[in-house]
Amino acid sequence: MYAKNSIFHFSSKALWSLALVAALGFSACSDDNDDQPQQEVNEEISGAYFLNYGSYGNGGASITRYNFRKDALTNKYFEAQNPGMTINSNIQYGAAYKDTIYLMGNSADELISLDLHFKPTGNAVREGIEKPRFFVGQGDYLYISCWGANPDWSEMPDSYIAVYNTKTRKVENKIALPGGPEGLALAKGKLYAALNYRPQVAVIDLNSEAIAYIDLPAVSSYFVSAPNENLYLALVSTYGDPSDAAGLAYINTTTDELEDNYVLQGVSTSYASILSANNDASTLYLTAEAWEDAGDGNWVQKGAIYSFDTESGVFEEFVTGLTGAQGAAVNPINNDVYILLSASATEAGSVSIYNAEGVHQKDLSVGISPYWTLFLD
Amino acid sequence: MRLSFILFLFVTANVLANTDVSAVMDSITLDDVTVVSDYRKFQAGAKIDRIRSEKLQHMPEAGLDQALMRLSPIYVKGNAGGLATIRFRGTAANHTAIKLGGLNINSLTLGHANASNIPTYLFDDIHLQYGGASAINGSGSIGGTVYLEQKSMWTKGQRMNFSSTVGSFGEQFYGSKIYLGNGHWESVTKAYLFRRENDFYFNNPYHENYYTNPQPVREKQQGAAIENKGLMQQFNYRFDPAATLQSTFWYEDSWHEVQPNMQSNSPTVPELHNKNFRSWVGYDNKKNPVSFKLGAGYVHDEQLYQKNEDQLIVTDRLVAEAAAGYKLAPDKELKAGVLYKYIVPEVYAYSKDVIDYEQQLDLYLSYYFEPVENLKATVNVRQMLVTNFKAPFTPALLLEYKAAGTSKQQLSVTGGLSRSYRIPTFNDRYWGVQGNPNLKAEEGLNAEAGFSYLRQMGHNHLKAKVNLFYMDVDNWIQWSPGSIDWEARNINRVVSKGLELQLQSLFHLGPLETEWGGNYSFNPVHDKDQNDKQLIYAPRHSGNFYGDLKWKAAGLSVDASYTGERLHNKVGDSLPAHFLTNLSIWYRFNYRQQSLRLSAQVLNLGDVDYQNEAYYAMPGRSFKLSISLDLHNNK
Repeated sequence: MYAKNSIFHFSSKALWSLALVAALGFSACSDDNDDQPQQEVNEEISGAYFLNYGSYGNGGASITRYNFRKDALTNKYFEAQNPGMTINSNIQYGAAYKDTIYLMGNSADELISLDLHFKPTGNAVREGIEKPRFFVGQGDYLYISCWGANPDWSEMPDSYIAVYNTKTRKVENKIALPGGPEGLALAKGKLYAALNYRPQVAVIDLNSEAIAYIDLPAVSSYFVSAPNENLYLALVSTYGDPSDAAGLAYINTTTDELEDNYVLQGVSTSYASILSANNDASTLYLTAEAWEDAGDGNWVQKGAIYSFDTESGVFEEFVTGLTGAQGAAVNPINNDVYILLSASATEAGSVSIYNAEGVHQKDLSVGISPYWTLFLD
Repeated sequence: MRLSFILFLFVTANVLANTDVSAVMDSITLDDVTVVSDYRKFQAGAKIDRIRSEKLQHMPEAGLDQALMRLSPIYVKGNAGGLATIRFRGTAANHTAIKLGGLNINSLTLGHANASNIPTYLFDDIHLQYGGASAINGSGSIGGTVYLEQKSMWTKGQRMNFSSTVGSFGEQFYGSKIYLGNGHWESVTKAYLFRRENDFYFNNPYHENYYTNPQPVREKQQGAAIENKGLMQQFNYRFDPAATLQSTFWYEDSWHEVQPNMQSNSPTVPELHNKNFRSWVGYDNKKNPVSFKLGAGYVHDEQLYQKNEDQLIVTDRLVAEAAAGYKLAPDKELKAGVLYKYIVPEVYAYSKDVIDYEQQLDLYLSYYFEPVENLKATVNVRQMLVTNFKAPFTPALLLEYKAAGTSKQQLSVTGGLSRSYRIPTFNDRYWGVQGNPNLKAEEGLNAEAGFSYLRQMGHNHLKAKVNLFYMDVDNWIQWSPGSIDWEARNINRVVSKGLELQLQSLFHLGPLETEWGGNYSFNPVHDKDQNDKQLIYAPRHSGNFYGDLKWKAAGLSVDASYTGERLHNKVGDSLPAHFLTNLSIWYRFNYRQQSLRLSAQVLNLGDVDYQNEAYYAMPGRSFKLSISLDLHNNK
């Protein structure tokens, strides 16, 4: 999953490289390209990075780098960049924010900071971080959804938002938020938290820390942003909180109201990239079930990726017949859709790549349980 | 009493072997014969080892996991004490049946029992059967079976034992056994309490400053405390030597903190609390030519996680069994039986619309015969009937041939072919929306051959056994990501094969008695279509060694185990092999019929830094002191 505040990420180094190359390149540019800045790729970091969760409590987390321009795959990329080291905790989520990659680690519960070469920028932070789930960044702060040290898996009374200062590398504050906040989003100066154990979205005023709630027909997991800063939100039906209204919610962040509910049965309850968007958020991709005819009138349940046209508000099957689908991500460079598949908690996972039209391109073998994709360029 | 015991064995062995030579041999090698159960009789040549009470006396505080890890080559996967599961021959935890009389005490929701919650102090012997034995033991006995044995002493008078152990890391054990009887009736009351803080020091390579300092840091284990206690009451009545009524009532209360992995080492951990009540009453009549037995039992299993009563997991079952045997001839016996279970699960994650109760009925037939001289054969067949489920038909053929025998030595050749199965657990079938009620039973095919050699030299003996085995388990159930969530599915087919070597010897040198033995197992086990990838947590090589030295009232014991390298995931990460050595010394003070035994143990003598489960710390060198008082007032 790439950083939420940019379509694709330029690092400082890349910017300097870009400037240098641009300066050299101007002399060679044709007249037609004089007014177009050259976009150079930072070969050292360019690629899609798959964040592989591993097996809870039993390690196995890893990073897989896929240089899609060169079709070059490197498994255990963190180990390759840091000989003799491994990622100790399970990677629940990761994203880049201001030249730093932050990984939410479970068991141990910690916040890991890496540079864009995936080298640690310091020790992991554990103080104040208890079952971290997701984060968003604003200014010098990360807002991290946490489930608390001993979740009851029912009401989640002790969950909270950790306010982490990226300069001091400390959790400065905890905003109590029962209900199991999972995905987060920032819009119009407010922090939105999808509650996974209550059918509500929490809306937090970051100045006053006052919390308001938007009622939903189901519990929820992850957001994607619409161009006008409104939000789409995945609604899920779980055993503890069953609902017929699973699908997508559309939240108006000006009025803080649920404006629409697009129903799609069997949305995935995985804690992975089940909801993603293309460059301009005109098309969303949602992981859900689909029934297949196995012959003789026998229908079997399989996984599928559905595309959602935000203009028409219609779901269509994008890819079906999947087993172990954890989610999807859209390559911002070429609009390919990467579908992350997990075989088990101990086996290598895979990524199936499709073009925007849904035509299969290739398969990659990655680490155990790929959950998220980070695009760096 | 000892003489009558040997005489009983002599008579039993004579019936089985039908030759004077064999009878003599069998009467001396005590570990070949069991008193209470007849599963041996109808499984000629099956590989069944015994961990004797004399060995268990060295470690009264040990759970079943510790006893197996120290005294057998069987791999036990577990961490520092909270959870341990038994894996015979590369199979999974729920492929091991654990039997107490007519009961399989495995959890019906999980399919296995926590071996660290089974105190060896309450049992007199432990028998280990390798390989599938579903035809005798029913569902779940695919990799092997553990039999928890209780000897009927038919005490005349009173006997008592009081034992206590204190050890490193806050370990305390207190146990008592009280035997009362008059030779016809007997009451046996056993109780124990075991506690351990488990605050051992270990080298933590995954500490919180790892990313700037990858060197291990010495830390104290947190959040791994254990407290187990139990009470067992037996009432036995002997109408005559061939007719007995025996009953067992066993309450077990096991609590432990869920040990955090090394990365998370912290005192804030979840707790798991299990309460189990197991009871069995059985009437056994072995009068020739017809014998029969009737039994009934009730089992209540309860598990509470994190004191959350809303997520209590309870199962109750009523069990009843009836079997009759008929001796057609001295060398032919037929037995038929039926086993009925009525099971009610009360699990928060099961919908009452899907499962309210389940009934199971096992029909079985066993035939023992000797087709030719020196050849024993048994045929067992079993068919299980389950509400809304189809279980496979399970036959087994086992043979034992005494190829050569004199008064001093004996060579036996064994072989067998059997099917085994395991019906999916309740969790597999009914957990939330991920359970799959359409799962098929796991099915195994087990082929085995071996030979055993016994050489008797006066009061000394030497035994050697070699076994070759092949197991093919289909429809292996695995939880893995499915359509949109984790699901239970029949997705694996696993082949396990191997070679097992065993040596055991007893020698007397004047007043000195020495017994030593060892096991080695070579066990490649893999998914059917991945020949080169060993299954995870299945060591290819394993072994153990033990040696006892006894001189008058003193003794010295050493036991060592080797666990080969094993994968802990399928992307090539592995745990290195480790070798552990334990030492104990003891001295017994005797006064008439009473005795006081003092012992000291050193575990992990080499202070080896190892992991049995990846990323979970294990204790280094530790010490224990034990005292055991035996009081007899035999009439």
